Amino acid sequence: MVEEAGLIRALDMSSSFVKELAQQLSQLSDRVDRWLARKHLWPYEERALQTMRQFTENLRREIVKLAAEEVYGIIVFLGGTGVGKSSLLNALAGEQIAPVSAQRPTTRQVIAYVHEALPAQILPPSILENLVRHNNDALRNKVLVDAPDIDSRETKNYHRLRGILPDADIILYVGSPEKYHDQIGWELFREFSRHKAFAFVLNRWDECWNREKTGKPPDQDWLEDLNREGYDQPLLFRTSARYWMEKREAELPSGDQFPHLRRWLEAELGEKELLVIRQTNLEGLVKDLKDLAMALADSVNVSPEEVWSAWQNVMERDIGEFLIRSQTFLTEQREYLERFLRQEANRRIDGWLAPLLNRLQGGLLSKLLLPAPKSESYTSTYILDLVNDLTKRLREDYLRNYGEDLKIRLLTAANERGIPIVVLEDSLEGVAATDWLRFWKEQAQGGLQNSLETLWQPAGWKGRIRSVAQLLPGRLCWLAGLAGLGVLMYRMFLATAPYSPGLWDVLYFLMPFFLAEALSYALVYTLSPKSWQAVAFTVNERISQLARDNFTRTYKQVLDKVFGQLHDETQQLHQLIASSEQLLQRLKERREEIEEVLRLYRT
Amino acid sequence: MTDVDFPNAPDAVRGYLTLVEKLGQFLEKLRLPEMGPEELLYVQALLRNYVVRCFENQQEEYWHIAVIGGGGAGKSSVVNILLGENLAETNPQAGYTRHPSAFCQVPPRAADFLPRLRSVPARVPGNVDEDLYDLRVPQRRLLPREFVVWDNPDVTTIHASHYTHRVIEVLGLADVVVYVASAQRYNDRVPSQYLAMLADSGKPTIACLTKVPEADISMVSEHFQREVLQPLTQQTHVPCLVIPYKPLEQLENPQATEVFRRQLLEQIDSWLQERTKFRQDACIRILRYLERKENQWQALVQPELEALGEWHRLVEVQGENILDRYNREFLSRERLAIFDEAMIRLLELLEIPVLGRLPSSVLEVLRIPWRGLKWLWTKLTSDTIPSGPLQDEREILTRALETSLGQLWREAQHRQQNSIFWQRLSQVLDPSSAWQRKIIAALGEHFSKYEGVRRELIETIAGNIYGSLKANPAALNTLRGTKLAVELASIAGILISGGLNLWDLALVPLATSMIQALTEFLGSQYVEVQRENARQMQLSLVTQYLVQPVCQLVAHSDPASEWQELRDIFPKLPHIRKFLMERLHAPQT
Repeated sequence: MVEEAGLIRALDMSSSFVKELAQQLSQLSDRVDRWLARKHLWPYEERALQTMRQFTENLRREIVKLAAEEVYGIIVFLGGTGVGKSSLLNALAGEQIAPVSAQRPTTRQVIAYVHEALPAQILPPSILENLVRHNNDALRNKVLVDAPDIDSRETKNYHRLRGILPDADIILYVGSPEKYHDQIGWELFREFSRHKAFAFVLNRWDECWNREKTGKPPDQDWLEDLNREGYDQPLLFRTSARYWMEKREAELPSGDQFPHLRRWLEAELGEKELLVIRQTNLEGLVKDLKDLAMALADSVNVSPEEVWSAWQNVMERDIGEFLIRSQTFLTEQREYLERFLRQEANRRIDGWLAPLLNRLQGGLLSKLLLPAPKSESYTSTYILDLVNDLTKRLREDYLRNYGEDLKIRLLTAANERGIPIVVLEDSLEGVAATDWLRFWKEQAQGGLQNSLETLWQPAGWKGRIRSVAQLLPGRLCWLAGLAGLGVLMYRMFLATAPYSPGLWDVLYFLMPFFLAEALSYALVYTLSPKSWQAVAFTVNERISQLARDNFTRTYKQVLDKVFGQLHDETQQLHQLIASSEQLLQRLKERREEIEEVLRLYRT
Repeated sequence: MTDVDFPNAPDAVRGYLTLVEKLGQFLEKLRLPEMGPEELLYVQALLRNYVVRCFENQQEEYWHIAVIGGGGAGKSSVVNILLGENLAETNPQAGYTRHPSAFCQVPPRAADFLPRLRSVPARVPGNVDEDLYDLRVPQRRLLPREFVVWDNPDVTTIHASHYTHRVIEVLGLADVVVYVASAQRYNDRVPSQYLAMLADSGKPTIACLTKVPEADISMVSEHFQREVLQPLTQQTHVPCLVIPYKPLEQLENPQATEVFRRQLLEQIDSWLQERTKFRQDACIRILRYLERKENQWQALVQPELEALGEWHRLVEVQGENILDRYNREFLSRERLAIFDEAMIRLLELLEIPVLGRLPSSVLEVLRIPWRGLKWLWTKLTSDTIPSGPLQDEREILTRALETSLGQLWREAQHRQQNSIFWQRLSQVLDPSSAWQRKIIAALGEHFSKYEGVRRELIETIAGNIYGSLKANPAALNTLRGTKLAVELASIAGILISGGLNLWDLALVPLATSMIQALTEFLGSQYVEVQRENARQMQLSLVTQYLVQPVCQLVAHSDPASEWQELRDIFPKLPHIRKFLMERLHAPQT
C-alpha cells in the first residue's frame, strides 16, 4: 500500500515528471508543426502529411488534459443508432439525463456526465456542449460522454463523434445484437484502437438472450472478432440498460452484467488506472508519430553521387553532340582553316623570308587567299570569326531550344535515380534561362584558341626538332653569308694564287645567304602543323575539357544546394524521431503494467 | 426502326451489359470517391438477370421476391412469414448468412436463375461464403407455385463487402423486393442506400418495419415514412408494413404471423395482376434509370475524357516539334548531292552527240574564258563554304523524339493531380520505364523502311530531271538544235557584222560564254525547283513513315488506349437503350 501511494504520488499531476512530460510533448508537437509548416522540397504523400497533422492535433489535446490540475478520464460511448448508448448513460446515472426514444437517430447532442467538483475549464472543449452535473463521488474523476451515432443517415453525427474521439481516454464501444460488428463502427474501432483504450458493451442483452436458441450467440461471435483483432481478453459487459433505466431489475434476463460495468467504472477504474491508460494512449500516439516520421524520412531515398553521375552522363552526351556538330562544321571549313594554319606557320617563323612571303600574299592575293596577319590579335580575331560563324549556324540548328531540352534531360536523368520532378524543377529554372549560345561559343572559342596555341608549343619529336630549327631562319643565313664572304676574302687576299673578284663572285656571298634562309625556312615550315587532321583531335579534346569544367562548376552547385535542402528537411525529421524515442523511453521507464488495463488494448 | 447492329433485343441487352461491365472495370480502377461499386453491380445485375429475361421470354413462369436488409433486421423472419413455415435460418449472430437462399415450390429443371451464382439444389449452411445460392422447396406450399422467395445476407456487417455482390445479383433478378428495416436500423446509412437505389430504378418495393415495440408503432412508422421513405423514394411509391416486436415463439408461429403474410401477398398480387404489362413497365423504368445513370457516369468520367483529349493534343504538338527540328537541323541544310550530278548530266545531254561532236568541242574551247571567270567568281564571293547538316539524320530524329518524350512526361507529371489518367500516364512515361526505349526502338524500325523509300524517291526525282528529256527525243533534239543554232547564229552574226578582225577573238568567246551562262542559269533554276520539290517530298515521307506512326504509338499507348475504349462506350449506350425502348413500346407479337 505504501508503495502504491508512492507510485501515485510519483505520477501525480503536480509531480515534476508530468510537468516534464507535458513540456516534452509540447516541444515535440511544436517540432512536428514546424516541420509541417515549412515548405517541403520533397513531395511527401499528402495523406501521410494529413495523418501527421492529425497526430499533432491529438497530441495537443492530450497535453491539455495533462496540464489540468486533476486526473480524470473521459469515457466516450461509441455505437450505432438504437444500440442504447443513452439508455446506458441514464441507467448509470440513475435518472433520465439523455433523451431516449424509438425515433432514430435519437441523440444529436454530446452529453457529458460530469461530477460537480470537476471544473469545466479543465475539460476539453469538444465535450462542453451539454454538461450534466452529478454528485456521485464514485464517479468523481470520470467523465461519461454520450455521443451521437455513427451509422444513421445524418452523417454530421458521425463527423461530430469523430471530433470527440481524440479527446477520449477510454472508448466504450456499445453494440446491440443487431449492430455489434457493423462495418462503419468496426472501421472507427480499428482506427482508434491504436491510441485509445477500448471496452465493450453488448447492450440489449435481453433481446439476445431471448433468441439464443441455435447458432453462435452474438457475445461469443463478438469476442471471437475481438480476438482476431488482437484483444486476448477484451473487457466485454453484457447489459440490458433499458431494464435498469426503467428500474425493472426484477425482469432482468440472466447473465446481465450491468452491475459489473458500474463497478468497473465506479470502483475499479481508479486514478492510478486512469494515469496508466493515459500514458499508454500517449505511448501509442507517440509511437505512431515516430513510425510515420520514419516512413517519411525513408521515402527520401536518394544519393547525390548517383544523381551527379547521371548528370555527368547527360553532360558527356551533350558535349559529344556539340563536338560532332562543331567538327562537321570545321571540317567543312577545312580549306579555310588550313590556309590559316599555313599563314600562322609563316607568321611564327623568324627571319626575313617568312614576312616577305606574307607581305607578298597581303597584296594582290589577299582576297583570294587570306588577309595577311597584321598583329598578335590576329589569331583571336580569326578564331572569333570562325566561332561566330559556327554559333550562328548552330543557333539555326539545335541550340535554339537547347536550354529547355537540357533541363528536361537533367530532370529525366535525376528521375531515373529516384528524384521526383518537382524537387529539381525550380532549381533548374536557371538552365533554361542560361544563354547557351554564349556558353557553347565560349567553349568553342576557348578550345580552339587553346589548342591552336599549344600547336606550336614544342611537344613530340617533331615539335622539339622544330623548336631547335626555329633558331635557324634569320640567323643561319648570316652565318652562311659570312662564311661565303670569308671564302671570298680568303681567295682574294690569303690564297696563294691571287684572285681578282668579278661580278659573279658576289654570289659567293649572296648564294649561301639566300640558300641558307630558304633551307631553314623550308625546314621549319615543313615541321609546322598545317593539316586540319592533325589539329582536329586536339581541338575536340580542349573543347570538351573546357565544357566539362564549366558545366561541373555550375551544376554541381545546383545539386549541392538541392541536396542540402533535402538533408535539412530529413534532418529535422530525424531530430523529431529522436525526441519521440526519448519520450517513449521516459514513458516506458514510468509505465506501470496493470493487468486490468492491458485488457483494454490490442496485444 | 433505328438501325442497330444487333439482330435481336436480348443480344442488344447483352451488348449493353458488356459495355457496362467494361465501364465497371474502368471505374473500379479509378476508385472515384463519389461512387461505390454497388450501383454499377446493380445495373449489371438488372441487365443480366432481368432485362434479358424479359426480352427472351415474355411468358416467364417464375416470379421472384427478394428480401433484403441490414444485419439482424429480421430478413429471415420475414421470409418465414411469407412462406408460412420456419424454413429460413434465423440466427442470433449478425451477418451469419453469407449467400442467398431461394425458396421455390417447383424447382426449375435446367435453367439457372442467376448466371453468376452456382445453384445448389439442397440446403447449404448459411455461413458458407461462396458464390452460390441454395434452392429449397417449402413444404406447406402456401404461396402461388410460380413464386420464388429469396432470403439474402445482410449488407451492413464487417463481412458484408465479401458478399454484397451476391445480394445485388438477387436484387437485379427480383420482380418485387421486400426491404426489411428494424426499429433500430430504419434510418441507417448503408441499408438506406440500397433502398434509394431500388426506388431509383423503379423496382416495386415493400418496406417492412420490424421489431417495433407495440407502444411506438405509430410514431416509428410515421417517422420512418416521413424521414426515410419519402425523401429516398421519390420515383415510386413504397408501401410500408409494420411487424411489431414479438418474442421468438410468437414470431415462429405461422398462425400468429398469418396476418402479415396476407398483407404482403395482397400488395404483391395487386402489382402482379397484369403480369406481362408488369414486366414491360419494369423494363421501361429500368431503361429510364439507365438513362439517368449514363449521364451520371459520363459526368463522373468527364475529367478523364478531357484529359485524354488534351493528351492527344499534346502529342500532336510534339509531333510538329519533331518535324520542325528535323527540318531545321537536317532537311533545310541537306544539299541532296544527287541533284548536282543531275545538273551535270542535264548539261551534257544538251550537247549534240556523235555528229555534232566537232561543233561542240569547238564551242567547248571557246567557252574557256567563261569557265575561268566562273572559278574566279566563286573564289571571290564565297567567304565561307555553305555548310551541310551537322549531324546524322537518324541521330537528329532520335534526339528530337527523346526530347519530346521528356516534354510529354513532364506535362503528365504536372497534371498528375488533375486526374487518374495523368497519374497513370506519368508512371508509364517515366524515363526509367521500358516504355521510352520501346518507342525509340520503334522509331529505329520505321527508319530503315523510310530509308529505302526515301532513296528510291529522291533518285527518281533526280533521274527524271534528265530522264524525262531523254525519253522524249523530239523535245531533246529541239532543245539541242535551238541551243546550237543560237550559238552558231551569234558567231555568224559577229563574224558577218564586223568582218574578220582582231575583235572577233574577244567577241566570239564572249557570245558563246553568255549563251552557256544563260543555259546553265535556266538549267540550274529547273534543278533547284526539283530539289526543293524533293525536299518537300522527303519531309512528307518523314511525316508519313516516321513521325506519324511513332506519334500514333505514343498517343495510343497503355493508359490512353484504355481511356479511348472508355470514350467509345458512351455514344453506344444511348443508342442501344433507345433501340430497346422502341422494342418495348412496339406492339406485342
